[in-house]
Amino acid sequence: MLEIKNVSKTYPGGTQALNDVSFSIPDGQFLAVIGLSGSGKSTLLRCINRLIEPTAGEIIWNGVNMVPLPENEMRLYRRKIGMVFQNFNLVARSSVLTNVLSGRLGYINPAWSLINRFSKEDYRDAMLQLERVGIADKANQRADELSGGQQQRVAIARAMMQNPEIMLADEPVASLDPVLAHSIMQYLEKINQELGVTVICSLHFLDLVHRYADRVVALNEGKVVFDGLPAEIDDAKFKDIYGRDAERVG
Amino acid sequence: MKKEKNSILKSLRVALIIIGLVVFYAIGFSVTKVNLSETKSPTRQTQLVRIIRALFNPDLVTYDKVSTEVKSSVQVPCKEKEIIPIPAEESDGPYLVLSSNCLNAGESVTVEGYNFPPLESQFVQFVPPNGVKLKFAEASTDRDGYFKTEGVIPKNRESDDPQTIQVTTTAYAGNIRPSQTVRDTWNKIVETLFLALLSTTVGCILALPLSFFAAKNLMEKVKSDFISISLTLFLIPIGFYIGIKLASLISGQINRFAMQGWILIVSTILAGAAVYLLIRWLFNRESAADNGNSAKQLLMLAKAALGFLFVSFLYLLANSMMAIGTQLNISLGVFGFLGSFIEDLGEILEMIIPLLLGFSIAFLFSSWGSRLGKHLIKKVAPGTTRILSTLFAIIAYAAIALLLMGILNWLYLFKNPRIYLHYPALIGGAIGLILSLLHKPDEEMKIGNAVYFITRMIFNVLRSIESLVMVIVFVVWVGIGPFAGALALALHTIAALGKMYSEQVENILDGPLEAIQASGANLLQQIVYAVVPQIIPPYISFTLYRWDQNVRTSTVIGFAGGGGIGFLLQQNINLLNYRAASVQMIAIAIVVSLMDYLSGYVRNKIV
Repeated sequence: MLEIKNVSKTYPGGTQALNDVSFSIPDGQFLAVIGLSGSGKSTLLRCINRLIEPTAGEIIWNGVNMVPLPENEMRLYRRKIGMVFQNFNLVARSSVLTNVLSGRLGYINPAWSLINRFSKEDYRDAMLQLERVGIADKANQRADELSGGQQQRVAIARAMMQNPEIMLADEPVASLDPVLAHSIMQYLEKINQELGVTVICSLHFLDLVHRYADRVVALNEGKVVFDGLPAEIDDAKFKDIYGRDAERVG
Repeated sequence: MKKEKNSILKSLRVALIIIGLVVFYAIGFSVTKVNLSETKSPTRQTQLVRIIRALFNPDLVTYDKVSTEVKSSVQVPCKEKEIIPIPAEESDGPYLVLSSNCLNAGESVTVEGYNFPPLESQFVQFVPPNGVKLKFAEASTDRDGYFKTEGVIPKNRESDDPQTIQVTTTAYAGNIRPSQTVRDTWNKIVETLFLALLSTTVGCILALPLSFFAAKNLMEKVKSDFISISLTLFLIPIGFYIGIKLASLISGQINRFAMQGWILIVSTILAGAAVYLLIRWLFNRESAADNGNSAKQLLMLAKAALGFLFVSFLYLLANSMMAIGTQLNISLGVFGFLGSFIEDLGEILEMIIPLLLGFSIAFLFSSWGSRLGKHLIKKVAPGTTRILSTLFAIIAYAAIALLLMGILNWLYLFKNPRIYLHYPALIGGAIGLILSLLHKPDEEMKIGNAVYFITRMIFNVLRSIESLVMVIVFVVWVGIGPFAGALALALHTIAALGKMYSEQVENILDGPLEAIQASGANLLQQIVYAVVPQIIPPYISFTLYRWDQNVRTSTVIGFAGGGGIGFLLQQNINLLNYRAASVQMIAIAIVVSLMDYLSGYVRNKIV
């Protein structure tokens, strides 16, 4: 159970990205976060694993409030929270295998990772994850030689190396074409359904939301404007979320 | 009306600006002592022309010459007006025609020369029977190789034997080859290139780790609570001191055995093998991860043993390198320099082991300090923690103040212990007290920003001192020569590369860094896995650029005694030997443009 209580975030420039956001996510849910660009979706996801520090509020995971934790303890929680990004965020010049292995960094002794040493189990695990996303044959290529869809699969494999209980996905398919988008979403669905990983995914397209999400939270200017089932989004709700002038497409 | 007023004001402003600029440049002219009449003075102009001609006539080649002596005999004194026949005209070789062959001392005689090399100075000599060559007359040949001059027969050279008037001419005889200047210049250019290479390498190695401390995007993430910072601040110097002492202890123990020859080398290999095996064992243990208390103690013990073994191994390695180097230096003959290189490397290793150990133990102590601080915050009652925090802060800032004052005391030699002990301790303690009252023990401080600021400041100060100035200090330390130049250039390179590197770190893509951070990696791992792969290409490019720049600088560093080609150039300029100086200038131009081209090519290939 992940509870988000009264979380606000104001950036140093004065922009308020999140304004008193509260909701809770039961384990094993596939939650979609929707909203316009700049509505605070990315900030919300990054507040959960504290890549961005919330200015106020609590984020309670299994009874522990993670907001006041010092960096070295936060690390231990962070490794149980996988994350994939819109721009994949692979290390371009490193090999696919190294990128996947770097998902283990939170678990191993930092001194060993300095000399680029991972255990045999980690190597086996990494190859297994790559096989699961179907690109084991690319393990020794440089990450930037792969296509966008392949890169996102590597990113999922990297996140899965953390053995996560929560998977944060920040617009994972926004840079991909519709066919690839579905294949990536299906991986996330598989992780959610087969391994019971809670997935929190921000999305642009409503059809993806209808197809994959158990529940939707919509943000507008940092506030929760909708929290419910995907099927409940009718035209009135749609206009609340995306503004008066918005037209439904697709 | 209003508009007009505005335009008047506008033109007035423009006029004022123009007048101001004129005054400004007038001051500039007078300050730089612009003296146009000097440029027109004929003596200066002839000097200028001479230098320019010399510079355009570099002393590049030398060739064999044959000198022939063209003689004509005379009778001094002229006893019987006896006529010695004047040699018949020869059509091809050079010959002399005298107005008379029978002369008395003090009489003048006209000397005409035919078929000499055209447009050259010729020196006419008078040679009495004892063979001494006396200066007689001087002339220049015309286009046809003809000259005519007049000389006076010297006194006190009367003899019964015929005497000689002769001209020595030299002629080109083939076997053209580079001149001595060219060979000297080549040697010095090689020296210059290696000087630049060494200083760039050393600068690059040291700038690499330092650059991370000067990168804002990394350093602003470094935070710690107040109490841990206080603890770390005084534990770091203590750790460093202990490390250096420990190193000298270990090296003393090793030197007591006074191992030599094969025994030394075998024990080095054994120590290396032991280190390797222990690391492997530790790695397997760690991944097995059984968390019993005794197992943990065993691991701790093993790590301590590993540290000790590793330092011993390094000392043994240094000793064997020195021993091997000395041996090779003797036995390799011409390639003895390879031996002395290994010897020097061993010596460098021996010099840096104490520093390495000092830094490692300081690092260890600092991590213990911050762990202790976190433990105190969590487990101890807040009141006690507050008191302890105040106490630690007083000790820490007093220690820092004492350390800083110790450096100043070394520089200025204060004799009064009050100045270098009591006052700084009091002031530092007071600062610590005030800070501890202002900040709660668990308050997060952005300590990284302070590190960033200090590193940047050191880089900027070092960078602003030209290596040409630095070399003066190093010349005093290690003597005139390329070594002083290499040290000065290296120091300057650390600062320059450190700044350039850190700017590259600041320019990396945030995404991968964010992703690695999200996986639970700590800062060190984030640097290794997300920052380093991104900065390798710009680092290589900047290092090459810096080498190129160091070659340029090392061409002038010799002016201040730093060795390299500048040394030769300055010597030749001081000796007014402009033809040789010209060779060196050409060499510099060739090398600099070649380096420029080459580094550009390699940079294009890599990036």
